[in-house]
Amino acid sequence: MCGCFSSESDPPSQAADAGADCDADSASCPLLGKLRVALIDDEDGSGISGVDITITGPDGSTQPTGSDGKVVFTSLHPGGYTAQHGSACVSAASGSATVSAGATADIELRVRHTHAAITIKSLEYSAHNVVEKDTTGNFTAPEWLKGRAPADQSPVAYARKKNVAFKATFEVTTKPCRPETVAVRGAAAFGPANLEWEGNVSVGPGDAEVTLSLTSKQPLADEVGFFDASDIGWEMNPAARGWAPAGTSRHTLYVTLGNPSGSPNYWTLLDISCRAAAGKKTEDDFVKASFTPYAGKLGTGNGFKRLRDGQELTYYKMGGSTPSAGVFACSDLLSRADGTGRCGAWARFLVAMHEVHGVTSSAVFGVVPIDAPYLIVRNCDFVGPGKLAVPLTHEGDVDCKKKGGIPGQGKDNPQFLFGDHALVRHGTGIYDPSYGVGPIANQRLWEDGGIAGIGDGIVIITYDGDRHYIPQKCSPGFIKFTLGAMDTLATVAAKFGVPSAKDLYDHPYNAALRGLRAKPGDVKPGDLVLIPRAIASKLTVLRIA
Amino acid sequence: MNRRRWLCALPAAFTASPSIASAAMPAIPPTLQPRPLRPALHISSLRFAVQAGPPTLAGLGAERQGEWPLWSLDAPDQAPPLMLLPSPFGPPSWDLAGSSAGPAAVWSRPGSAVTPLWTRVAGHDPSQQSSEPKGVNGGPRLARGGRAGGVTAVTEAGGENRLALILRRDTPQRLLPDLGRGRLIAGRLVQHGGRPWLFALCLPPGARWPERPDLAGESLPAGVLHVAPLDDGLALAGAAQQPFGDDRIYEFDVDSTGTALVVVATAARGWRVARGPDASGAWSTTAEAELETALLSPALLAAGDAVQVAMLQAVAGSAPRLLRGRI
Repeated sequence: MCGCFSSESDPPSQAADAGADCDADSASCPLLGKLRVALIDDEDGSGISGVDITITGPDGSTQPTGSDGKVVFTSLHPGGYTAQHGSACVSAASGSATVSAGATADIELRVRHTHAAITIKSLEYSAHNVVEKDTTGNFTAPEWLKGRAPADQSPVAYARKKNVAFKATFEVTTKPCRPETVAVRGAAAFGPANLEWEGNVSVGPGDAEVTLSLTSKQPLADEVGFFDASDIGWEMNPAARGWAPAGTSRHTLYVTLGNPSGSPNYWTLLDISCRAAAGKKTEDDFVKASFTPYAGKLGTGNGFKRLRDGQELTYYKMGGSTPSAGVFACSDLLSRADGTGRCGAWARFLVAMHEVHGVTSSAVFGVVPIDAPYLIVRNCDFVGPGKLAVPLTHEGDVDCKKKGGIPGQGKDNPQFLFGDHALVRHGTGIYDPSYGVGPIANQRLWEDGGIAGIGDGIVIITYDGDRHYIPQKCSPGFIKFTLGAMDTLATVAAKFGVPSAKDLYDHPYNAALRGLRAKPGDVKPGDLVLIPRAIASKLTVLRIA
Repeated sequence: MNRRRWLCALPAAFTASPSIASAAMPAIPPTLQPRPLRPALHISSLRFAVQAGPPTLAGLGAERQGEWPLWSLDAPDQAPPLMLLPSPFGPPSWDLAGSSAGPAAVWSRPGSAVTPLWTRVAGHDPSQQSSEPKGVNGGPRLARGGRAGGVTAVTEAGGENRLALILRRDTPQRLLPDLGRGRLIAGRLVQHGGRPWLFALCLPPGARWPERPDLAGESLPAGVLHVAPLDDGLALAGAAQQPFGDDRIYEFDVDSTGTALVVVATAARGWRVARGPDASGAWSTTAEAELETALLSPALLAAGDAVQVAMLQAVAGSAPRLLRGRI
């Protein structure tokens, strides 16, 4: 083959002898022509170098474009020619021209580069409060993974007003032919907060996936929130050529009042509280609102479900046969296979629920009867005046009969007789999570709602299919009060909210006092007065342990 | 540490056998012998106690009016219980030791809000622990060994279970180091080689094994046993180890022979023994001696090289069987 090179084959364009059997400088080529092919980037008008151009026609040849994007084929026999490129990196294009003897024909191929395309693959959150999977360990990163079942995606928790940050990994679905910068942005609405993430990532021809760290430009709203199906819509913009969809990620996001303090960040606690207190901004509002579900989970089959396994959480599920070990802590409820606990567990469950929001001012406290070993939870019937000696006048299961009781968490008739009971105080409010009651302004109101009486000794009965206890002897309630030097029956009556000294003196519980003192005014310091709960509006029969 | 890694950690003499047992340790624990156990006692748990004379094996019997009798299983049939443990709202977890005044017990008395510890010397009234009466103190175990003293109990602290040392004369109640391997189920302190050793049975993160009912109606989770030496200030003095590797066990007991710590543990199908640490810090273990039904409440007492073992074997529809032996 000889080269019939064009005088126009100035560098940097390629000059190509298409196949004429002659010398370019000889006079033997007057019947040949040239074809100049330019490969142009349609987006900016620049030439694209290094791309093979193939011409077909009377002669055929393939040569790469030069640095200016052009190649000149020389020594072509006249006729019609078609040119096309052989690159997958730019859009397909072909052009035709007629080559005449002694002339140069032009074909311009206008093409577009193939740019990167990416789609969201996984998100690994940062600066968040890792959620603990109900005593079985922390949820692990990545919290969201494309293709994973929705139920297997990991929940994420942030305190309110925090910015949401993560490491986002994108799958490269179309590889660019040259490294290029792809702009990325995501947008999501989490309640009143519209969050946006923006960043840039370099995508090269060999990349299968790319990762960049993103932090939301806006913070989460200044309120508790629960979002179980919030989508982040992703878009990409490769080489500033325009925005296009880049997938969607869906998240369960808990927004807490504050960062957790004092308790592991248990999933079930987050879920209960964030759902119930969504939109709340103050501690008091949060505490009250987050307690509201407790009243709706009472009775058998209605209890809270532990999120990691769906186990119902219950209060004294087996009545008096409820296990006695590992049933006193929040983590017991979340750990035990049967999901049951005693009041200590439920009180600590509530306090821990506050603590995962950074509320540390709630406290468990216990109450115990003042003048008897046991307290009786409503409901029971005290039939008649009782046949036993005052003040424990009634006999358990004889004239003190258990009735259908106050339902507890996930249990219709939980335990009935206690030596103590655990409550929670927050501010001035009393909460009884075992029975879903609160806030209550004072202890007397709580006792009126929940306490049937007090007693001594134990009789085992069966009720509603469970073993239960009832006192051997019991009373609707009283305390023993020894008169001090300055006390009269009138002052004692006023102190405990008894209408009058006579009401106190005449009550059957004070028969012994009447035998000792002929009239109310005769009482003396050191005398023992029984204050019946039934006539004393300010009396509590339990004390804080 | 898994079994293969344990194998690598053991001295050559221990690994000559295909099993990981050493020459001093059989491949599987010896067969335990059934011993008479009066069904009427309804024994649900066992503990060994050292008395002035020979060791006593004690068992917790069935409740009577809110009180739970502790029986000496070595005493004649007509003997009265060692003492009664008041616990009206459920079975106590307990331990027993000898004292100059007679058998002395410590037990948890479950309430509804709290689980205080109580103590009683036979023939005397019970008394409630004075410290932390509002607390949760389950699974009390007398610390074995002279200088260790006191009682350990599983205490709720900050939403987590921690092992606390309580009722020790010269030390206020204090939390023992958290071995950091999951939720604590049970623990015990043993004096050995001049220092206390902390044993902690923990629920590892991740999937749970099925829980197992014991003979008192409680539910036993399966955990991984960890052990670490402590210094005299009860701080960690060395790395934690896992005598049984990552294998799950349900209950354990431990004592010191003077030359080694010995652990017995109930597992999925039987029981196992671990002995260690040797000079290199390694533990040798037996494989599981399998039985047809579950073993419960393993109890162990070492007197020099003589190590007594007892446990209960659940028998469907019948009273449990008492098994005893030496390892």
